[in-house]
Formats: sequence, structure tokens, C-alpha cells
Amino acid sequence: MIVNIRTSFHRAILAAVAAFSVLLGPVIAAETGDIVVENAVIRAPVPTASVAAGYLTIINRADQDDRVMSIDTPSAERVEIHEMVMDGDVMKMRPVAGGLAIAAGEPLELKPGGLHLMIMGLTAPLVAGETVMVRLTFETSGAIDVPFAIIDRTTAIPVRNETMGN
Amino acid sequence: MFRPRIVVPILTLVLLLCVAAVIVWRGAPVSVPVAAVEKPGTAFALLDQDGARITEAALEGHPSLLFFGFTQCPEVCPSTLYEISGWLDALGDDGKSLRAFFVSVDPERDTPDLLKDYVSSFSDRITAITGDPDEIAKLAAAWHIFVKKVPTDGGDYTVDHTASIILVGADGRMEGTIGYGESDEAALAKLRRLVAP
Repeated sequence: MIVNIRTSFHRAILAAVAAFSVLLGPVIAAETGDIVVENAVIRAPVPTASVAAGYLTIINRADQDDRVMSIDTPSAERVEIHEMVMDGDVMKMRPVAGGLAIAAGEPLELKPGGLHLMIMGLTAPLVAGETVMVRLTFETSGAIDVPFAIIDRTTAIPVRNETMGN
Repeated sequence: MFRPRIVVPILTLVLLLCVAAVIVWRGAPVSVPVAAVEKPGTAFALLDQDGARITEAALEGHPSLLFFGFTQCPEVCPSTLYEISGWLDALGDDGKSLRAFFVSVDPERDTPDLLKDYVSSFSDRITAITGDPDEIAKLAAAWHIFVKKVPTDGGDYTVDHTASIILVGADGRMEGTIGYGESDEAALAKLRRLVAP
């Protein structure tokens, strides 16, 4: 029973943190030069899963467009950028080819129902409450290491304030 | 000699056969009309998550939910299974006759062992179905589920599939669907109708 109480307490804290992050605005996960990464989270998959989905917002403060060329993490064999599309009632997923363009000054949000990180070949279970380091390599801005918070199924994926209520 | 009484029905029949041929040739149609009444008991012989044989008999005598997906699907499948688990809890005793089935559209990778761990993470009331790929394709087609394997980089693949949940009555006939992203309220209203005595 103690385990259960601790688990629900833990969940309550996570939920509270998520609620505050919505109230207080985006959580900056990493910042380097002209690139800011906000709201970087990975949804904890079921314990035996080999894949997980990651979400984040990338802001390019430079005057010129940039591009995410590759993504790596020590916690998985590889990371791809996929786009989910609902075609009628059919779910389709496609890898985004040729890197992910990040227009200057326009935050790019990877969130449920659209673009997401497809983290494949997990080398260790992802546990809610822990953090995973993920390296994004940009064409112009170079590499940036981003800590991704692992959140459980009951915690909402944080989205930017501008898109709230959509 | 023109005899419309014979020619018109024959032409209608020919037209219907053409439409049916096109549907079969194109694979399962994408949209599922809610009012459609499927013929019950499309036969299949597959495996559940314990490796035990499971057939169309599992869908008879009680209402069921059928959801097609795969374990390497990062978003739609886990969130739908999580929702199903929540609905089963919310229905309580009213829903105790309801059975939920997760049919793998990736039977080559989704073994019974893998599915056992997978579905049990969501609920102890979800039965997984996998097995012979041809039998899976037959079952999916019978329920108008679109399934298409799509190659990705490095020899890998993903599977496009219909994300709706099929509601099956106790007589084994389709009663309706719950679309991906439908609200809990709408889904529970449909489920309450499905399980109503």
C-alpha cells in the first residue's frame, strides 16, 4: 500500500508541475546561441515498449532559417522525426525526410496529432519522473543537448500558450 | 427485342458486382458506415496473448470492442488502449459483459509474449489477437479496417491503419464505431447503449 500511496503522490506532484508549467508559460529545456527548446517531454511508454514519442517546441531566434539534421540519445538506438496524419479514420505515420526546417522567428511545435520524435530501439525503460538527454544537431547552430522530462500517461503534453484552447 | 423488366435488374446486378469488384480490388474501404450491419461470425483462427487459439466464437454472446493496432505505434494505439481501460472502469458493473480485443496489424513483430506484456500494462480485460498474417488480413478486411505496411528508412516499416474502434453487439454484428479523438462522454454514451440489456 505504501507503494501505491507513493505512486499517487508522485503522480500528484507531476500533475501539479504540469499545471504550473501551463500557468507560468513554457518551460525552457535548453538554450544555446539562437536556438531555444521549450516543453521537451517524452511520454513514458509501457514498460516493455521498444518505441516512445517525444514532443518539444523549437524556436530559432536567428535571422536565417535553420534545420535539425539529426537527433541522438544514449537511451535509444535512433530517433526520427515523424508526422502523424489522420486521413479520414486512418492513422498514417511518415518519417520527415531531409531534416526538419526551423524558420527564423517562428516557433515549431512538435505535439500530439502532428510532428513528434519517434524514439526507436529503447536501450533502457523510460520511467516517468526521470530525464533523458537528447542531442539535436542543427545545420547552422550546431549541437544542443536537451533534457527531456519523462511524463506519465495521465499528464497532459504541455503546449504553447498561443495554441491553448484550440 | 427490349425487355426492361429483365434488362434493368440485370444491369443493376452487373453494376453492383462492378462496385463490389472495385471495393475488393482496392482492399478494405476506408470509411465505415455506422449504420452498416456486418454479417456476423467472419471465421478466423488466430492466437491470443497466451498463445491459445482464438476464433470468431470469442465475439459471440456478449458485446465487444475491436481495436486494430500495433505495439510500435507511439501515440494512437497506447492512447486508445488507455482510453478503453478507463471506459471499462467507468462502466463498472454495467459493462462487465463487455470484452475488448486488440488485434495486431503487425503480427510479424507482435508475438503473443510481447502482446501479453503490452496489453496487461493497460488493463487485465483486454485480449490481444495475433497470428498468421493472412488470417489477420482477412479479419481486418471483414471489419473494414484499412491496413497498409509502409517501408521507412533502414529496412524498417510502419503500419497505416484505421484508428476507429468497432463496436460489436452480442449477436456478433457491428453496432457502430468510436472514432479516434472522440470525447469520453460520446464514447461512454455509445458503450452504454451497446451494453444495455
